[in-house]
Amino acid sequence: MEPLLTTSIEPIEVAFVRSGLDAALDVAAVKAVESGALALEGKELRVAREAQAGDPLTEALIAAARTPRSWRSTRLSAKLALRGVLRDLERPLVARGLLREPTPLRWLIGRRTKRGEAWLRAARLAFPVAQIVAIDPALALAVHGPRALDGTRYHAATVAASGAAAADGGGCGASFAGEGGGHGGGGHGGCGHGGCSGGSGCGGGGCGGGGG
Amino acid sequence: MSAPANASPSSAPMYGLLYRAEQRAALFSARPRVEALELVAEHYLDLTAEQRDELDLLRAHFPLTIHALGTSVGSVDGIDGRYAERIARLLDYARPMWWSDHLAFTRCGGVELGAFGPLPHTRAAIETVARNVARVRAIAGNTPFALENPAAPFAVAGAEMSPGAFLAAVAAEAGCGLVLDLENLHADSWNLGTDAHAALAEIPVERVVEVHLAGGRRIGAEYADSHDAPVPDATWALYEALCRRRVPPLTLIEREASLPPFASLLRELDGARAVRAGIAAVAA
Repeated sequence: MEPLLTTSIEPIEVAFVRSGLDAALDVAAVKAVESGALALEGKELRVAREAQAGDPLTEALIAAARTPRSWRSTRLSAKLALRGVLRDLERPLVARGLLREPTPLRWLIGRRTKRGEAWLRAARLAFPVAQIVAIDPALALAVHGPRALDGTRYHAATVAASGAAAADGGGCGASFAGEGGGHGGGGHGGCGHGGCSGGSGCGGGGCGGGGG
Repeated sequence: MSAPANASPSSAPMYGLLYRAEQRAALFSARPRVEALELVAEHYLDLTAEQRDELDLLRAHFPLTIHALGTSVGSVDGIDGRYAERIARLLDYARPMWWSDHLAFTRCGGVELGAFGPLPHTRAAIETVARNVARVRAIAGNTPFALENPAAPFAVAGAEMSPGAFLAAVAAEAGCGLVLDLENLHADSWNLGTDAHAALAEIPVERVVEVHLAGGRRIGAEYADSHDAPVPDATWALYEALCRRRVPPLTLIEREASLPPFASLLRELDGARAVRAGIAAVAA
């Protein structure tokens, strides 16, 4: 087994590979709250401190949160803003062999490669939810899904947002670039965020738009 | 003992930890400050699917050593062949740099003692150990093997040589490496009245493949090698004395119980690195 986990594992990338843009934006939001750039009040996000965003997702979230609104609305607004650069976000993950290039049958075979599946498996094993949630909640969310944050201050907002995503067809794999909204995990993968149990089921063989 | 095939390619000294599953997330978050891991063999001897998954993950990301508890190289009635076969299967799967066990007996007359019985420092004991090491290596395969000095709760009467000379003679006779637990040397000096620095001076440093640093605690008049406390100054002094002769290929913080925050273990690892850096700076 080759060393799949590089020395600096990036939670946003993990979430993107696990479940697409919605999940990556959730993780970016948690990272921004942890860094103090965004503040979470109940289920609402607002800008707490003007800060230099290190990545386009966080930049879009901060821009969206300048008008305080619910986690879900902030994410939706950021997602719309990111439409033009989504392929740029995917490209490095495709280059690393974690995602497939988009194909007409991607809704059927999923986007994650075998390497991507192995990468996620290694991440789940290396970062058990009960251990990582206290160290790095963003990575816990990225690797294990919203239920990893049960009992944390992010619980209400992320679980509510993820439930909404599943309900509107935005489950695993639904939000990859060019992926039709109707081809998400809600229909094929069978694992929208809201369906993950115990924070450990998402991203497994049945997730990621069918798992390939 | 020849260099392990899968040792660090640079052959630079490595600094690692005794692996504890309950700190796995912290461990992976702290890479690459932890450069190698020691795994307790007994935790993986069944090679269940779960154990294999864990071994797959660990061996893919860290150089490993396997540390066994039950070989009982000091038993006059020989080694347990079934145990050695299980070790062989584990070594075949985990592919460690080397594996090790303790210079002691843990079984006598078919009874598992659950503790490391100290050996008499005699020629007869050396021959027994060498015979058993040859047998276990014949079964366990080509993975390099090393013996660790355990702490002795009492001195066995009839010694024909000093503790350091005994360790050196065993390693030479058995043709194996040494895992030098400096905290055990420190404990022996307290409990047996031996001179730890004198014992260290007799040890052939070229055979030392791995050093254990740990801390114990005083219990009444005795010092328990409990490996559940920070490395004490006396053990750091032994480490510095060792490194002045030769920096060992692998230095481990071997915390077995009362696990502190992971950052504390990392600070101790950095302390070991600092010893090496300090010696190098003086030499330059």
